[in-house]
Amino acid sequence: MTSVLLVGQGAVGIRAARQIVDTPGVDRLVVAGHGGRAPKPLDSLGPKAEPLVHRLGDPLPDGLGAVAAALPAGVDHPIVTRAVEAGVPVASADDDHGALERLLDLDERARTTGATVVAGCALAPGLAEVLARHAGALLEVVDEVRVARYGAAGPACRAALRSALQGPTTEWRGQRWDQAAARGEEHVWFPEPVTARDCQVVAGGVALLATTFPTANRLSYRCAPMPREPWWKRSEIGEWGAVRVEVWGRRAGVCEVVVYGVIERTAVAAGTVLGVTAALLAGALGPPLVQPGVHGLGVLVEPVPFLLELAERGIRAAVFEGAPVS
Amino acid sequence: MPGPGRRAGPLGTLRRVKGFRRVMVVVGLAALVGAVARFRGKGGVPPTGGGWRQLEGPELR
Repeated sequence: MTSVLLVGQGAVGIRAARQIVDTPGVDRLVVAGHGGRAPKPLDSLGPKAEPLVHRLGDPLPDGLGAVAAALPAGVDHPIVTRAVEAGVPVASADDDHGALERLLDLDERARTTGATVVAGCALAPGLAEVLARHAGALLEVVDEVRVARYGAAGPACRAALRSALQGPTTEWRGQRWDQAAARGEEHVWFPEPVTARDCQVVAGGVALLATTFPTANRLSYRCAPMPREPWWKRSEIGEWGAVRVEVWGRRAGVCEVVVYGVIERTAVAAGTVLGVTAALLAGALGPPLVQPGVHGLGVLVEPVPFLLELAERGIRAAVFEGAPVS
Repeated sequence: MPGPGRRAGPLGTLRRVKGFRRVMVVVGLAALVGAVARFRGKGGVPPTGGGWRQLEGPELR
């Protein structure tokens, strides 16, 4: 019997829940609210879903195949620690730079207990690393990876994005961290309907890119601020999310660039990535994904099967053809 | 020159008008510079010589 515990019922959590119960290999989804609150009604999720009142720090239920954490930034550390101690695989959607670093600090402990931990399991970080690795497979040498993201899933994600835009601007340059990366804006061309946005350098996600491309010379993450729209004229564009991944490298001695992107409603994309990853960890989509330690999605999954699974669930990647202008 | 407590004469009025004109010139110049900076800063969408195509096939290329 394959059971998954999902903690958090925000914008990402409810989408992840839908993806998990729609996975034939999952028999039971245990849903816990945030901060010990009783979960919202689960009727729409069908008979597989059952509620659980769970406070951060409580022991995990028995018989879990995986844990999926969709909690606000920096909140999920206790539940990930519990899962690591219990040797249960866990996927976290947290994309906050500090929270990611704290999760990566659990690497040694996770290797000891045999727990597989996926950090930054959402749109970017998350799907962005998988796309970057897929693009990098076309090149013999990867020199530079530039990730840009537009979109925030819900209020907690918007707050995390604002914090990231005001936080450190770290890049990976010449095999070392560059803490003083330029804070200036860069015009980035996303797939429609998001199109062109001014993006700023942020630190979140670069550490996971560095584990995916340890030999690359330059790795950077950029995010676009969300448009400030008053509630009475809020447009649909605020719901959309997009990621653009540029991988620069060489093939047959020639410098080349591969540009991949995804466009989807941010919460749907992040929830689907989290749900599919939890299902993979639990063994609901084939043999369980086992690689003890804390990893980014780009290190852990094979890009093509993962992207095909996402495509079946409506998240389709695209390639930019033509003269790339970021 | 008007003494203390008296209303300004023609000379005082002229100074005020000159001062007002200077303020208007400064405000106008600032607005002009601001407008130029704004329109130059938002230069529209950069040109692209291509477009997005969905990845297809078993290898998703």
